[in-house]
Amino acid sequence: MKCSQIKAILFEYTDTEIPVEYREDVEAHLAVCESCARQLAALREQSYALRALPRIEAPGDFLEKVRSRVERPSVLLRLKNRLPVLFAGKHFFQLAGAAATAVLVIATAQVVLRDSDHKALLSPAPSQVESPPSVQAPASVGSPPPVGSSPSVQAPASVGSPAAEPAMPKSLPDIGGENGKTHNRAATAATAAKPRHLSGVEAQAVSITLKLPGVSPKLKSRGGGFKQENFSASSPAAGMRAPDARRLEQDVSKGVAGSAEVSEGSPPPEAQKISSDVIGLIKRANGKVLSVGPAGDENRPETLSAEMPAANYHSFLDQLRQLGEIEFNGNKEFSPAPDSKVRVSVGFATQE
Amino acid sequence: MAKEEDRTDIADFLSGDRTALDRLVVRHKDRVFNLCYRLLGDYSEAEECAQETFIKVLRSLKAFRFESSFSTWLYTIAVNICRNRRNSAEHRFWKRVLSFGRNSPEEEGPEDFEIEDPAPSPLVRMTEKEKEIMLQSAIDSLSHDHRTVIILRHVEELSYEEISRITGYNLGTLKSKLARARVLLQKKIQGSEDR
Repeated sequence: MKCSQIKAILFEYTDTEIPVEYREDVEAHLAVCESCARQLAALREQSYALRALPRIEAPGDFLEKVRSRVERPSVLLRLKNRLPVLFAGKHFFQLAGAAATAVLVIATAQVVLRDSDHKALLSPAPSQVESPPSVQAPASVGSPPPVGSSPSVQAPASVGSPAAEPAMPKSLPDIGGENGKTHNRAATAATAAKPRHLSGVEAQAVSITLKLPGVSPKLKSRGGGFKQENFSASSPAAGMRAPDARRLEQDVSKGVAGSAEVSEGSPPPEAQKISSDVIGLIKRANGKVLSVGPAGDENRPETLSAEMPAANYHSFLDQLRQLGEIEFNGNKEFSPAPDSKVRVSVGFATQE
Repeated sequence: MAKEEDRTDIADFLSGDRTALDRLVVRHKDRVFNLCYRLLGDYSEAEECAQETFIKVLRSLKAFRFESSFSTWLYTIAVNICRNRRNSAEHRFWKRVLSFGRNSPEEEGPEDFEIEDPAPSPLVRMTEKEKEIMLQSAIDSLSHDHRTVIILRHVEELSYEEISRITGYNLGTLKSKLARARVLLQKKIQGSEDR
């Protein structure tokens, strides 16, 4: 056998018994091979040294320590034993109930608050809720009276007035946006229109045409026509008023009616004066100018729509007759109830 | 004889005899402690692991079916506990601290079974105390598997069959590991002599 073969089985040779045929071969080789003999001696010395290692004995209190650890319940067992004590506690269920209630209340409050936030976002603002009727209000101001009226004196549907603006859908949650502004404007107009119905009595309407003397031909070339703007004179929103009409109204209140300067695009002075005079009469009759509509002829004043107490109606007519001949469209003379209001639409026509 | 006593004491313990527990512990504590000490190389850790071995054995004694001897079962649990302890972060930390400056522990080289320089063993010239210190140091530097087989075979002098049951190795693997462990151990011994 070669050294490599011998060395491969030397471990078993030193450790256990090997078959007799191998044992004889190994012993024959070891007798002549010094290297393998030394290796065998080293292995035997190693085995002897390992067996000769002192036996370390357990400490004297080992048994007591083991016994105490065995008798000590495990962590799980201790926890298991403590649970019944915890559940048997006097206030355990009270505390548990209070904690559960608190959790429920907090959760409910959060859900309710969240829902209310969603509703606030989805529903229109309070001013927007009131806006739908106000959208109709200006139209009713300029709407033809129930009595038959001529197209010439009827205030047309206002162009550019709040009523002419597209009505917004009720459900649109536009807050602070452009649509919101529109709604706010409409709401303002509605607020302004409210006084007309404060009396609680339906205003009676009458349409009058004031026939004016002929306008000087030379004036036609001087001044431009009236601006084709409509506005509600009763609206407090400055942006909704036609500047010319406002100026006229201011002039009337200051007693300087007719002093408006002639400028490019403004009506002729005669027309302005007549218009101012009529507005002055309306004011004196404690009436309100509701709208000023465009005239068919650019040299004629605009069509005025006003509302006044019925008690002053007849005095207003008397003073109006001093400016020119008046003609009633539809029902001629009528006697309104003293505590009612009269809505007067004054048109202008050139007297032939 | 010991097997019969173990069987009787286990039966007594399961029937409520608390003194049977003491008898089992007293009979095996030194061997278990020595095994733990040789596997771990530390007295306090050996005590801790030996106690843990008995506690684990006694708590699962009802499940013991006598398919192997009680001592084999005891050793199996002790070897596993010591392996877990050596693998624990705490043990690795202290081992690293205490072995500072020493050579790194073994090992795995080419799989040969030849002792390259079969010079006369330095163990011959050492005192018993020197031998013990050097051998324990060399054992500590082996891997857990090699250390386990060499201790079980040459320190505890268990049979191949018992070692196979404890470690789970088949006979061929066990012999191979044992041969390899002895070569590595001899190298350690020679190396310590050279230093």
